[in-house]
Amino acid sequence: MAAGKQCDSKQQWEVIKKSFFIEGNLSDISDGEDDLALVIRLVQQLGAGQLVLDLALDAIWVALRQSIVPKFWSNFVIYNSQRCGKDDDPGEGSVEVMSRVATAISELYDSAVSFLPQIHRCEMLCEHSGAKFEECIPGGMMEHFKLHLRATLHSQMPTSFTNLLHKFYSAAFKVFYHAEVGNQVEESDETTDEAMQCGGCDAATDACHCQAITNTFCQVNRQLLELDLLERLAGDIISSLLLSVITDHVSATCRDSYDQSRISQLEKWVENVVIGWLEVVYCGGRGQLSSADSAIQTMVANNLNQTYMTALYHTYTTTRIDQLFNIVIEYPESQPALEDIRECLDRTHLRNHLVESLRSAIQTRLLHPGVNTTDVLHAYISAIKALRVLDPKGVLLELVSEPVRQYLRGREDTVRYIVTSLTDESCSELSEELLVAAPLVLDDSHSDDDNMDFWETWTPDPRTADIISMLVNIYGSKDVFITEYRTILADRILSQFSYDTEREIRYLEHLKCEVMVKDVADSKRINSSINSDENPRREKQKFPVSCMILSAQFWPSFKEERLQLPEEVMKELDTYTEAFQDLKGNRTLNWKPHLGQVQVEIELKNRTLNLTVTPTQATVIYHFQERSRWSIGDLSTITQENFPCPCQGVLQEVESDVFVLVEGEELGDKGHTATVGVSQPDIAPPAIEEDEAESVMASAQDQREEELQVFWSYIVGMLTNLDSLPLERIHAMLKMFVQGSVECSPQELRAFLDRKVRQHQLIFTNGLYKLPKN
Amino acid sequence: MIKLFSMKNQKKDGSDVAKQGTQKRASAAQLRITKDINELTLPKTCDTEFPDPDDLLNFKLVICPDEGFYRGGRFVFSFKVGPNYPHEPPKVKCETMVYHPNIDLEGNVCLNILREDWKPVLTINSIVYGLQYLFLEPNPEDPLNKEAAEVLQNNRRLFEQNVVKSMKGGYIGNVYFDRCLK
Amino acid sequence: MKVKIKSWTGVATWRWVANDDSCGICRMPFDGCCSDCRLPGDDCPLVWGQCSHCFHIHCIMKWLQSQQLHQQCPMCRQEWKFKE
Repeated sequence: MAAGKQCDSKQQWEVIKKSFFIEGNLSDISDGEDDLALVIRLVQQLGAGQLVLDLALDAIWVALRQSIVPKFWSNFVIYNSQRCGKDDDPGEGSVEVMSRVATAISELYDSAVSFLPQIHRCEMLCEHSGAKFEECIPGGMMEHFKLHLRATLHSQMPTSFTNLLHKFYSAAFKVFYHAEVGNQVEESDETTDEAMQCGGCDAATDACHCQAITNTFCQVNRQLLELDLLERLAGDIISSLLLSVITDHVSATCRDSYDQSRISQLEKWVENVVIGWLEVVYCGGRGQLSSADSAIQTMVANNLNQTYMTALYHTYTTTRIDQLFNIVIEYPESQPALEDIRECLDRTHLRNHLVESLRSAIQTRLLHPGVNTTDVLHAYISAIKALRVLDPKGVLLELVSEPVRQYLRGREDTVRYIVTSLTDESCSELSEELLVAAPLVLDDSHSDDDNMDFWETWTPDPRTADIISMLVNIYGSKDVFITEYRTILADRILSQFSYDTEREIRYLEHLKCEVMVKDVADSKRINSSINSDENPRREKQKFPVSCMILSAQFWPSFKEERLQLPEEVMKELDTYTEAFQDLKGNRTLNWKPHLGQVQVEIELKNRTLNLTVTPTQATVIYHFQERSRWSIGDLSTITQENFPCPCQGVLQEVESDVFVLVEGEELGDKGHTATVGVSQPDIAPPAIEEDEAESVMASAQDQREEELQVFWSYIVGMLTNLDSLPLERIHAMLKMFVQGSVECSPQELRAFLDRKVRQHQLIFTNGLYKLPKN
Repeated sequence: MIKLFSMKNQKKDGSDVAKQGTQKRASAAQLRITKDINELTLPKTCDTEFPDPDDLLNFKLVICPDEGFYRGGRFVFSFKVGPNYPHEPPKVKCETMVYHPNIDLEGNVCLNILREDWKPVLTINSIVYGLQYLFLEPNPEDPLNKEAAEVLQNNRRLFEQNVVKSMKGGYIGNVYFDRCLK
Repeated sequence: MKVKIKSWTGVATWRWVANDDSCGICRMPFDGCCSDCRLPGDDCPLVWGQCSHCFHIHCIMKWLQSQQLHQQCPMCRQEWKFKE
């Protein structure tokens, strides 16, 4: 080109257009710095620097928009239409995907690179012609170009691309994963069949192209990185891929096994696999960091490392929280999992989630009528222990266990179950707990404190709160618990009459039951003294009498029953009482005639029965000596006792509520073999014992009922004066009038009133209670 | 939270049963005062106040006589029940300044059952009635406030006027009484 | 038919034969124990004065020890003498 000559303006413009690729073709651009310098000078002379720069840049943007980018995306649009949008079409294997992506990106890279001289020219133009590159992009023209490329790509991105790229990265990850950890897996898991196939690229082992994939992959990443496109195009895909990889790995690792700590193993895994792969993506592989940009290096080392570790903790904790109910149930085997969770809770913000999740799991899996009280209690105990591992301060436990306690309070058999387990001879979980409870609690810090007020202000350190206390605390107060405990202990003592006191005495002291146990021991002593041969009364005795002598103040109240014993028996008991009075001056005995154990020998026509029966049964059978036929009504009159059903083994109900003595063996013939006692002395037929299943003690509920009875006269008074009242008014008025006596919640009052309704002592209509009209 | 098992374990030889017994449980005084308070039947002119509801050993009694010289007044007594109760009487002081032959200006009360005639079968209720009686029948014998006793003995009308004056708030002689009308 | 009772194991509660239910000093039931005791009965017995009033032994002893001049019954103020 004869640049030095004077050309006409049209010619000059053509030159300029050509040099700066305005309305032209990249390939037409003439090379050479000399030419460029001339053209720039020309532009300068014409004073058209700004105009040319604008036109030149515009031309590039147009080229990007109309040719380069559409061409790049067309690779994937074709794919899209070919596959009819089926993303998961297995037809195209990883190899095809890899090569398609690699080719497209390579092409894009080449196209982009081909703009570099043009960019350079524009830079020169800016420098020499005074044209201003206005847009404030740090990094100058090159950065501006990359930005345009990114924006243009983004604006035209087809929807299928993400899926494809995801496939691309997944395939590459698989290869990497296989190389990194696959070897160990292969050793243990892979069968010979599968060994024929490469775990990385799914191709036959002898045709493995893992290396090829890795190479392609590295090239693509490098190209994208150079164009600043890696983060824009693949950033989200990489992170979502890795997150799902982490999730899969965590749930595979943690599935159904809670007996190992996983956290350090998982940390190491993230470091090797996740971070390792990221290094491959961003830096072209481990060990090649030196060649890479140090900014990227730092990013991988710090930010990403932290991001994915956080993701790991989050995923792991979430997974464990989902399993927490099972983990709790499987305590103590699940201790390692719990320790993991504790560690992770400090690094995540999942505490509330944990509470919510466990509460709802407990609600749906535990607190419904389908679960036995025993199981609820065991779960409660496990939760106490397990959550103590998670949070020694006990805050979590408090939050999670309150609904369980509330639920247990509502179940009628809870106390009985706890108490029965505590006193059970066979070492149940609870009685073991009881045995460890005492040593565990030795708290010497206060033992020398002589302050009298100490007992009131002292509160236990939550750390040492033991299981028994937690169980007792289901009731908020130990009074209910102790009442029930004493009832059951009383039943136990009075049914066995040979109660071994050694085992329980230690903790009975704390349950205010030591006197009960002492009564048992004292009774043994007194009986042996009264029944000793030296006792002069002994000679006149018709049968030996012994007695369980109780300290009434320390026993639960007895159900009031006034069994009238046969004269002969009363006489013997009176004799015993006299002996007792002689032994213990100024003290006497009040007999509980219906309680005890009697050994009787029943002589029938053709057999003799030796039975151990209750005083009631003994009394009933005794009266059959006088008459062989009794009605229930007559029996009740002379014995002052109501019977659910007398001894069926010896008596037979011939008509409703009328019994006759069975002298012969007819009943035995009918299969009641248990009644034939001759060969089985001292064994009571089961039929006789059945009636005694009921507790002789007034249960806590009975006693409560009695307390509530105090209200009844007030309620009757109110309703007599005011005709009808709603529950709330009755409750409020009771609070006012019966101040300071019995505390009663509205719920309790409702239950009480509803019982009265059932007993026809009250009428309930339209939300109002009133008295029935006489 | 109540803890059943963490209390110090009983020593096996039982040598310090008594000591531990009192330590674990409410003291004898506490047990006894609890019964006293539960069985308290107050006359309608009296009321109790428990500044700390958990502390039954320290409380106040308010007497508002509805007859006698002191009708319309409001008098507050503080009760301090010591660890030897009921073998020693509670310490009772009148917190309201009152013109009364048996109550001095420091609030000391002269009531036989609070001093020489105390016996452990007496209860808080006995003291309440004793104090109430003191307002109905001030006793000029054995006085703590000798001037008031003298006036009562020599001039009942003047005594009555003085009482009314003192309860409205004012000087009797050179002593100022705060208003204590209900 | 003939019923022969071979042995009878009964249940009874014991109580003090006293003219009151509870001790005037500690106000605890006689059949319980005084405020300083844990075990009733032999371990915390009652004693009677010649005035026929009775108390837990621990209660009356504590009272008598605190009386320097006259040892009187807390109930009736008669001189306290133990009933033999």
